[in-house]
Amino acid sequence: MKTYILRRLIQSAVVVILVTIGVFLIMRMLPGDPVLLYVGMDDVNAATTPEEIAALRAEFGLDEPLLKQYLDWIKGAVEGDLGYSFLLETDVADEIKNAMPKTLLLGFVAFSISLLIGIPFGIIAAVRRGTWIDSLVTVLANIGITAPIFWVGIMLIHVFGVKLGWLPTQGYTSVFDDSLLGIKKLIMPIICLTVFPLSGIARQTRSAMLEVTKQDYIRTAWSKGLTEFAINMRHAFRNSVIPVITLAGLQIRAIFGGQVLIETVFNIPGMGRLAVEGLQNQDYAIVQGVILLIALLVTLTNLLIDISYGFIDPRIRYS
Amino acid sequence: MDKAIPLENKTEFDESVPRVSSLKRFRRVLLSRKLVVFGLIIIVTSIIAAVFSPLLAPYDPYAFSLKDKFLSPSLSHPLGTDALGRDVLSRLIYGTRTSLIVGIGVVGIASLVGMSLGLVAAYFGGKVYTMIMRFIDTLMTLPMLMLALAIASLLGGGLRNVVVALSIAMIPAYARMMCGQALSVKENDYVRAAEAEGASNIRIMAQHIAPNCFPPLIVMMTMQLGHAILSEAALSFLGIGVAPPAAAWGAMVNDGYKYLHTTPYLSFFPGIAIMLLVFAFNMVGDGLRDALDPRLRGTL
Repeated sequence: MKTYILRRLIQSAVVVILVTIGVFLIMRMLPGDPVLLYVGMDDVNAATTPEEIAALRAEFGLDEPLLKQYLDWIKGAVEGDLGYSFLLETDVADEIKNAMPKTLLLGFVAFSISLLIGIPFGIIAAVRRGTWIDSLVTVLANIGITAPIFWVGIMLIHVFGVKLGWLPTQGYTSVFDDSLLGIKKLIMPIICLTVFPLSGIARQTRSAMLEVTKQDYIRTAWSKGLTEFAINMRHAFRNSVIPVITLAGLQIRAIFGGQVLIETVFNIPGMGRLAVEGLQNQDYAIVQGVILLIALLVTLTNLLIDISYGFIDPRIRYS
Repeated sequence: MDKAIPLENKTEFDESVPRVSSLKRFRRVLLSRKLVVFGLIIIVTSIIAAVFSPLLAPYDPYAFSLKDKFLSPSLSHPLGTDALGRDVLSRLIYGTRTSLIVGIGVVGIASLVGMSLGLVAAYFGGKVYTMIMRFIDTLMTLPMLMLALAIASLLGGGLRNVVVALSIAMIPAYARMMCGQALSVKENDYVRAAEAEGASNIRIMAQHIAPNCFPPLIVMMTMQLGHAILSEAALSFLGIGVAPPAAAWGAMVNDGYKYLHTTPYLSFFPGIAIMLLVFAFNMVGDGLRDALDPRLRGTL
């Protein structure tokens, strides 16, 4: 077990290093010169001479060899300094510090709701297989995994924001500043982020449960005269939880991906929108920072999930 | 004489088990569910719409006339017109092309590259396995959409670059699935036999391992068609994708979003189109899984 965790830690570290190299190279290959963009933005600097541009380049370390730039970036990142954004004229670390709590809050709530609703509905559908409730859950889940979430967001805005006027449609307010408004602004984005993972988890729970209920030990449990609840929960569900956790792990990544869209639709200044705007403006310091952090978060959750298998199912041995 | 008897028996045996039965069963299971049939109908309709767009579209999807902008759905424009007076139905029909080209292109490239990587990793094992799978893990660290977004920004917009970006982002799923399959298939005796015969590595991989890994991968490819279409829509919604005048459903949703207050149906219809097509591929994928795997028949 210890050697397994150690090996997975090393693997994860290798993957994170590979990601940083990949991201760094992609950002350097992007079309457009950030210094020229920076200069072009400002009217005062409009008549910048080539010498001044070279000076700026040197100031931001862009004239150094790639390897040195990369190592400087990593060294800074370890110390909490992710560089400077030309376009936003702030430190990337500050920008991410502002954006991250919003993204994490949305993602965490959406993920929790997906599990809390998806798993019970999957179980019910499997237990009541072939009844109206099974059909309902299956059809809704099948629609849920096909709906483009940005479109769901726009339709929600149309109905609950524009037509009914119940919910604010744009922006983010901290629940600590104005609890009611803050929560109201979170409702629609969270619904959108929940649709896909909730449906996926319900589907997976249902099919995993149906697999298990065919097993001999379930028949044994019935013939022992156990209650239906005990059979379903203690015997069937506990044995179908592994594929559900595997999928849940993948859904964490999908939620981060969905936030790129949802933060754009609802105008929430989180990591997803930071990444989109950074890419559109060739602001590679920002994009590098955001991607580095998301890669770290995803790698960490994957690691935790892999390790959790052994605790959840003692039959799993790590080799 | 001794040899003739088993031969005769063999013929009899073959006759008692009709060889068409597996295909028949496949067809029966596949078509037994109404939703699968519905999915197949949608897919065939979309293919027809994509191939014959110029014949089916009532108007030129690019011709704008500002005096006809924001027309409500009517007999002459069944789904209305957009901000530039272009006919929405015609643009939807042309948009089918974008979606299907992206879907088929992405699944084609991603499955070919991904499956090859997975196969090579599983077959050779050791260092090759570690290198390939670490590369795959790296690709899997980022949300697919974010990875595709970064690659598409690097390559620039346009249909071809979107296909490349999404293909790269989708390689990991195929590589992992193929690797898992191939790891178990390569332990079979017929692979050992081929090795003993001195067959080349490529021959063993292509002729003996790969074909036996296919059934779950075919299901996955069908599902991924829908996934690729959904992701293309997301990219074009974010403004990275097919160049503006060309019709893409995701971009149409985004165009409509600007005029949500006055003409909500501009966003509504393309979204429904995306959903229908993705739903169709998912249903057919589900149906294929049931039809290809008797153990799982009817479970999902």
